[in-house]
Amino acid sequence: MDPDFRIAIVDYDCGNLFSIQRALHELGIKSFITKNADEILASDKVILPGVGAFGDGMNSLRKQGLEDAVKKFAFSGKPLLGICLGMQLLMEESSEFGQHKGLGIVPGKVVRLQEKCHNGQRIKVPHIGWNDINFNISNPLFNGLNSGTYVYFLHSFCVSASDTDYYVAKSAYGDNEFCAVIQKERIIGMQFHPEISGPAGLRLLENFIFNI
Amino acid sequence: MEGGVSFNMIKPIRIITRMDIKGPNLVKGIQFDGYRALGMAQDYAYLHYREGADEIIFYDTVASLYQRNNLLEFVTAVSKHIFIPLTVAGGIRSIDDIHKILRAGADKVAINTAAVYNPDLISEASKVFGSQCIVAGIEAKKRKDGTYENWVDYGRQPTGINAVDWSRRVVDLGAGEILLTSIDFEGTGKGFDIELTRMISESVSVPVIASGGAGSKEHVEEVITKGKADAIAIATIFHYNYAKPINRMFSASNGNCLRMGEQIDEGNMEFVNTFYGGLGEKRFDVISIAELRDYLQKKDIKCHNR
Repeated sequence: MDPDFRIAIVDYDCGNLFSIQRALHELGIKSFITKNADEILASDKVILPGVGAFGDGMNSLRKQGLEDAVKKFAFSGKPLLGICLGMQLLMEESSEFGQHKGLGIVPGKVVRLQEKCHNGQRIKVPHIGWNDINFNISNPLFNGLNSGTYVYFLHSFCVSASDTDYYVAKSAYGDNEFCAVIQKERIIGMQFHPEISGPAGLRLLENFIFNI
Repeated sequence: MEGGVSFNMIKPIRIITRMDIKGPNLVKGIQFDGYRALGMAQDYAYLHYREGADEIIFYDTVASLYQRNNLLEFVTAVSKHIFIPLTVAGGIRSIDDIHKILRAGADKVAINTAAVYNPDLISEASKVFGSQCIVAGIEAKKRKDGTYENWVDYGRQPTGINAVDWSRRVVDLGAGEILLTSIDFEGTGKGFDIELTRMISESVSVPVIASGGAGSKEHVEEVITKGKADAIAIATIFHYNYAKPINRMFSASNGNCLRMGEQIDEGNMEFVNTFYGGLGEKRFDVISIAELRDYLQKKDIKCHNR
């Protein structure tokens, strides 16, 4: 990899930035954490992490003046990876604790997981734990992995895109069949946490860096 | 039809390793007492990651006693090379404590003692860091009247608080998970407290991690199907499995090596191999994480497939 290659992790006080940076470091990949709009725009790849509620996340991005930078970066055609809440923020809107506008990079919205199952049982939301994701192995994002691999989820909401062709990996929890990885050209969103999904998660991060 | 089976088909359960830590060592006791060092905690942490643990809980055994958590350096070191969720329990008393330990590399904290003295800590912490990283620890002991009471300070202090009521309260306050330990069963190997686990699991909307008492794979199956546990935290039967000498025939001379080949610096292998120095009957069927996963999958319990 070009030593001048710049990978930015967006710091908007809403993510476990350091675990993502540690995971990249383990892969021998240098990255930097930034709150600076110009630095984001000058990067080659951007990772948008995120934990917590949608409204808080968007407010925080806005307050730091990073909303436009992330949008501009995405529309420039350079690769952007949103993780968990960072994936959900890519959408147009969410109904988590009221209606909130998102970044609008991917058409669609964010909806709550259903607790009720067809057989009358209930599942617990948030969905916390390892679950299998199913995908087409021809996508270079999944190089070296088998469909059905397990990754770690931690979420109560999931994306509902206008075009389900954007769903490149799916998972199921109770009766919910939901999007685990979304991809619109070089914009990627992962609903799970690759940085704490063991060797499979590290591979996904590596593939994003080298193959997208 | 038995409801437990189909329930678990749609929702994978988590197999978590629980590591009780004192100084640099992994320790294990019985009913929160009588600790023995099993070896360097750092070696065990890497080993459990490689072996396929879904998560690891690090429990600072003396933190509450000294009113501080001593795992900052430890977590900073191990999180550089372990990429699964790490939870730190013990001695977490303030927003600042949580901030520091998350920054060091933990993904979640489990809080019991401080939450009992100051329930607002749970609500404030879940607002600041998100419910997903706030685990409420409940250490329950059965009372004579059959109800359960929450204890604090690593199982040293009764609180007078009903454990089921408390579980609902902490979830209302914003806890995202419950780490439930049975003080009566912890370290005994006689199985989980099924009644307790089921009661708590059915009264809250968040996942319940059952901890304390696993002596065999059947016990684990039972606490999932009958106890409705969403995850299980296991110490002894994993630790003792990996602490077995490389070659049992030469256990006297090779007794200071883990099966995986790492040296045990502070281990007490004789104590481990004779199960509490011969004081207790042998009640532990040690097992590897992979063997346990295979067994559960054969029983139609969905879990992380590697």
